Amino acid sequence: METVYSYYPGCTQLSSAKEYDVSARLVCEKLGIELRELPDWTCCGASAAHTLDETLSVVVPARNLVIAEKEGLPLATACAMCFSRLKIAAHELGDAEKLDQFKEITGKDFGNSVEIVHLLQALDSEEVSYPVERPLQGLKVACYYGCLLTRPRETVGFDDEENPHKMDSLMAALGAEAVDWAFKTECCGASLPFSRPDIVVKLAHRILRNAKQAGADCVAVACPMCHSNLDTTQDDMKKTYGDDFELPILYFTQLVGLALGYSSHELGLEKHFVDPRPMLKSKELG
Amino acid sequence: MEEESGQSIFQCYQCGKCTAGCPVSYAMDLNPRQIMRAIQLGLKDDVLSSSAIWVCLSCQTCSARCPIEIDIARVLETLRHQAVREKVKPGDKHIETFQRIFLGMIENRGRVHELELGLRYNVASKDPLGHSSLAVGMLKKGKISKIRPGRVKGASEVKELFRKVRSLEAGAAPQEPGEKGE
Repeated sequence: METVYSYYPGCTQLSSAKEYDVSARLVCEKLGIELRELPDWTCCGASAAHTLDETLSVVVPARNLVIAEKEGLPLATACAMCFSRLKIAAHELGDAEKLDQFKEITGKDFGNSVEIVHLLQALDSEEVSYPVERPLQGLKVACYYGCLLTRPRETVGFDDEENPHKMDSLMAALGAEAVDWAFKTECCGASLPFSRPDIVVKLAHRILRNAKQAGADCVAVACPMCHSNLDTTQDDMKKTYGDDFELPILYFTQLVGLALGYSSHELGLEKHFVDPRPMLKSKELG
Repeated sequence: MEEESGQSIFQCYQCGKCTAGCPVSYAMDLNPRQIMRAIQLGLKDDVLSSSAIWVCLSCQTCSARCPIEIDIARVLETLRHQAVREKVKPGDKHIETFQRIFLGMIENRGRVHELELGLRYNVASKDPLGHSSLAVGMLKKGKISKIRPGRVKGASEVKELFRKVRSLEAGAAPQEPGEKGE
């Protein structure tokens, strides 16, 4: 298997999701997977470009694919939004007319040959062996994939779109128990926390209520936007719905890092609004 | 609409599976099934001015579950692009404002800085103290590392891409840098 990737961190990894970036790099280093940051990368266009303009929704992310093609390595990203936008851009450029238009706009040669993977694929437990130092015994994890990783299936080609399992298998390989629950791929409210926080709180509340009912100690995510929407809204859920979940939301890379022996501090566990450390300590994992 | 979205809208037989799975249909004035019907009936103004096309999260649940594989999320996206092009008053001003500011930041900086995005949105929506508890919480947790983001090397290239795309869409030949909007 390929062990060197070009790495596309994405904008949130520089600020609100710093701990996702830090834990991803630590974990990959330990597993012998090299992440070489893509030189001169720029935003994937996120929700804004595809909301407002068809052409920009392809051109803005694809600029990064031109750089990646030159680097000659598969491109890994940790953010589900970036993953989705890059994959959809590559898919759209499969159309010869669109590819010609793109080359004309950028003035650059591009063969659209870049393999794009999400970090969950690069860390697939069926292909990577995990030297577990601290098995996550007794930890019940609700693996949350959200919408962007799995849909549309023919474009992202990631996993089953209704019942994905990659993260569940990974958690099991680390000794944790992946709980069976219904909201694995329900949307968290995506890019609406500023403009329509009412919608985000409602959707995130439904997701966490189901995770709690399934007996989860925490929720594992693979997207900074999902993380923020599920983690930072729990006070508002209490005010709106009277439910005080106090349910820690962790990046899956942080759980991998814990199992590989890194400390809570190294993995940035203190950065979450709902502090996962007391729960982990009670299970002798922190 | 069928041509631009690439979807066979007239094959929709109104089963409603899209709407049953939609997490935000409750917040839409026309739900996804009603949008499809309205297009079939030629009610262009109703769909382009709807809140539905802005509230849609593009989560693709509708598209994944449509029994005849119509990409409904794509239809909604195409409607939104059309509404933007035709300068239709947006059915949800908050969402439209946020996305415009977001896109403007990408255009001007190449990358997005969340604090600046939030502040700009607050100013534009005349709610200067909006989301302050979120901002304070993020500052406390060290989730906002730099007050002002540095300039990215690729930013000027991104700006140029925006300029070329806009020229193309305006039907004009791409202009040389410096002629307009610099």
